[in-house]
Amino acid sequence: MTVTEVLPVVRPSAEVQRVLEHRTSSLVLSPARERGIELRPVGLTSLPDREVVVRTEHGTWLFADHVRDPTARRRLGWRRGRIPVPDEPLAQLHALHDAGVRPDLVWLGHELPGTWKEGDSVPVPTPRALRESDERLARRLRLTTRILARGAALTVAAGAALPAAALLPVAALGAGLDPIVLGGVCHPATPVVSWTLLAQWDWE
Amino acid sequence: MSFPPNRLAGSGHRQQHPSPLGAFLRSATSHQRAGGPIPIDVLRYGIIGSAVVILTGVVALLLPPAPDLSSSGFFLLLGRQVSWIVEFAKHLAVPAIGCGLALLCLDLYLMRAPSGRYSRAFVVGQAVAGGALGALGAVFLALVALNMVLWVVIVTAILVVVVGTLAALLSGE
Repeated sequence: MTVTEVLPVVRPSAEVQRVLEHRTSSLVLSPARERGIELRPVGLTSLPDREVVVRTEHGTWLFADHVRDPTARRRLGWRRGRIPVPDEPLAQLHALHDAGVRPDLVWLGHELPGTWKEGDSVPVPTPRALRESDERLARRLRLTTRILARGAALTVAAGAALPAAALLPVAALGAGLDPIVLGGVCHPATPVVSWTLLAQWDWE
Repeated sequence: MSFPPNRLAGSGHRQQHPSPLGAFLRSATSHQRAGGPIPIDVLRYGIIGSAVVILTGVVALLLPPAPDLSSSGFFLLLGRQVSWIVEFAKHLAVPAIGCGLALLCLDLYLMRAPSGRYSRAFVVGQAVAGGALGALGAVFLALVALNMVLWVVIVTAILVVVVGTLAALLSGE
């Protein structure tokens, strides 16, 4: 599946297209090419002013400006509202920025689960290393609880052992819903944007 | 769909501000280091731990004072140890209930908020605390059960002796 298949593409006049091609080339494609990174324009759309949910046969996608990205995660302490990006695409985006790539807009596209409905959060899987350590931790806790429960059951014949709750399998989170980062270049006069794919990844 | 004029390209306005890509990179964080919500499979051990801590605290408050227990005559064996346990649990009860409730609230937050390895250690700590107090409760219950069994044995023995004596007396006549 390509991004153009899920973006609502518009067909503006030839003049608008020419201006946008020129601006996209000078602001995005050329600086990236000089750094050895080949970027791919993905299409023209009207300038969106709010997040867009696109339902296609390839799945449901949510496009949002990075300042309103729904995956910006709140956490304990001072690190608030950060958008998680895997290291490799993050390094590529830094390289693009260092190369002088300056799109007018940066939007993120998130593939959504089939069951997603308006108001639901956008799932971001826990990093693989942490997921694996969570699974190990759950196994150890389960084993320890079982041993303690048996010990308590032996100690207290009346059955004062801790009730062993039914064990749920660890949620399989690495669902592989792919996010994309799009750089948009706007036309100076008409509300049309030319989008370029800056980064794309699958959650591990 | 409306088009905010300050978002249109070509204006000098954009030049005075950091580029959107730079702003995005400042708000981005490494996914590998961003952490994630603690899975319920792990978190429930913390929740159970806190629940055990609260339950032990409440039971300790409901129990009669330690001297009353040891002087009640019920504990034929290890009565002093039982009164130590009860006294210790009573001293621990109020802070344990407070901490347990606070930690339960924190668990509800951790269920949704992304967090790193330290919060996992915190959940394990909760489970250990619950296990420790649960073990204390189990020892207390074991001593109660032991003494109860002793009483049952004694009462049964007395009944056997009484019934045997009566039977001997009746058969002698």
